[in-house]
Amino acid sequence: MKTATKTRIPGPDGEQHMDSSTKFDPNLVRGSLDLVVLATLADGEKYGYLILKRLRDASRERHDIQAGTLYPILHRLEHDGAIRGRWEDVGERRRKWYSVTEKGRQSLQEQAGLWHAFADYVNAVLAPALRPT
Amino acid sequence: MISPEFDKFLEHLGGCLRLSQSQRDVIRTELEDHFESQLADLTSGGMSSHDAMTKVLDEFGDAAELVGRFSQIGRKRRWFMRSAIAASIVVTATLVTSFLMPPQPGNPFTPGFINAASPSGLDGVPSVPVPVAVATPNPNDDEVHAALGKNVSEVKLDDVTFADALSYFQELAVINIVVDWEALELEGVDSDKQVSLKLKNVSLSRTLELVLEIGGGPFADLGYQVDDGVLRVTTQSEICKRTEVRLYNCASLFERENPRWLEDEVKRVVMNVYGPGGSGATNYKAGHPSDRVRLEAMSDLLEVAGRRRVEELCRVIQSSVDPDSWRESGGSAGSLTIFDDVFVIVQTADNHDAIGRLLDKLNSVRLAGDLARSG
Repeated sequence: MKTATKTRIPGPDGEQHMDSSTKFDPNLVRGSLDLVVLATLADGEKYGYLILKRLRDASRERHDIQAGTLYPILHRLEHDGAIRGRWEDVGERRRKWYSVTEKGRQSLQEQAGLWHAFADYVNAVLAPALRPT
Repeated sequence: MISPEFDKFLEHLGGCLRLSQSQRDVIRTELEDHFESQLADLTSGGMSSHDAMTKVLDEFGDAAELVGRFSQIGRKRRWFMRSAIAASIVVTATLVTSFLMPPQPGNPFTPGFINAASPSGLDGVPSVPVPVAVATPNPNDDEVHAALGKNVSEVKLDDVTFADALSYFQELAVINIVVDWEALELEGVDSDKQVSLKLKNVSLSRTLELVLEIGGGPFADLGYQVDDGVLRVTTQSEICKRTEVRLYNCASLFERENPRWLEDEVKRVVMNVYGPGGSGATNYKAGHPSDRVRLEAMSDLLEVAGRRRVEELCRVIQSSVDPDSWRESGGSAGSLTIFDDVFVIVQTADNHDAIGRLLDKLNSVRLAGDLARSG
């Protein structure tokens, strides 16, 4: 198990409010799940558990995405044509590998553009608010 | 090797998913692979098997919650499928109606039917119809269904909370509503979620469906059921847990006057086999062998026709009332077995009500056929 490093993060009043092991608020994460799943598949096909590990590693364990959340998303994206799956026999088990489709890549580009614009907007609003008075 | 706990989890999940068997198998296979991969990963990192298993199961979360998320994907599929099913229902209803209506004169091959329990049919006397459903409909429920069937000229919700949207609907429909917030919250439903809706000339039932779809968000599969005059808003997985058994006496739907040619033929053969005014097995061997063979063949024909009508009625019920809910279609709520002319059906209360209404309509069509014949 990886252990997240504990780095204190300054709050708007200069006080230390949160460390880097604090999990992301689910409300913050909810709107970007499709985007991060698509982005994870952009550099090559993966199966569910690999995607889950990649997301946890990338977030330094702060995005504790659950299997029960991930699989319905994968099935919905596949149903929508953004990703496609293929089955592979692994010993006695069967494994489903997912890869992003052309439609998925387009969707990823669009969602990423919106995400950056949104992040810029939030940062622009936050910057003056966090400035020490 | 899958652990018994995870196997149980998958069984429970599969049982509640309103998907086809093949879709459930695909989900099960994929989740099994995840389970094994993560288990191997955790134990190779030093975790005990027991702790690893507990952690993996925890990460899958509550099966009911997972059902809600998967069902949401299925719901979109079903929406399109229902359009196709609706078209097939129209065709089926037409076929059934033509089957229940009197046969065309001059066509001796039109299938006839004798109710084995009603020999008076042989005398050409129309059978007395009996109520179709043994179960007594609840008048309070009928009132709620009637209210849901009403049209409203305009619905306008502008960024109101989901909870307020349901209150608005209650005032509009003037019915008792209970919202199962506990079950809704388990599927991640937020009572403060904003709902906007602008509709004109729409039924209240459709309005409620849309409010639940928007308020439920992308993952929750919400629905409602009517019980003793109260409309209960809850999740589909909760609804599918609440089933009840009702018996439907469908004998009246199978009663019909036989074609004249068949009646005459039966009378003639019976006369030859048993003699004038005779009956009973004692005289059976007295008849001409060819007539005995013919009588047996006719008996087989009538039995086949009877079975065919029973199967037809099963199909009509299962394709007309919540087609996805039947276990044969991959659902988890409904089952139908037949004992003589009695249909033993396990379904949700709402679906039972819909089955009752359907059978009443079919009975009306049959009565119209009898009237047309006697007139």
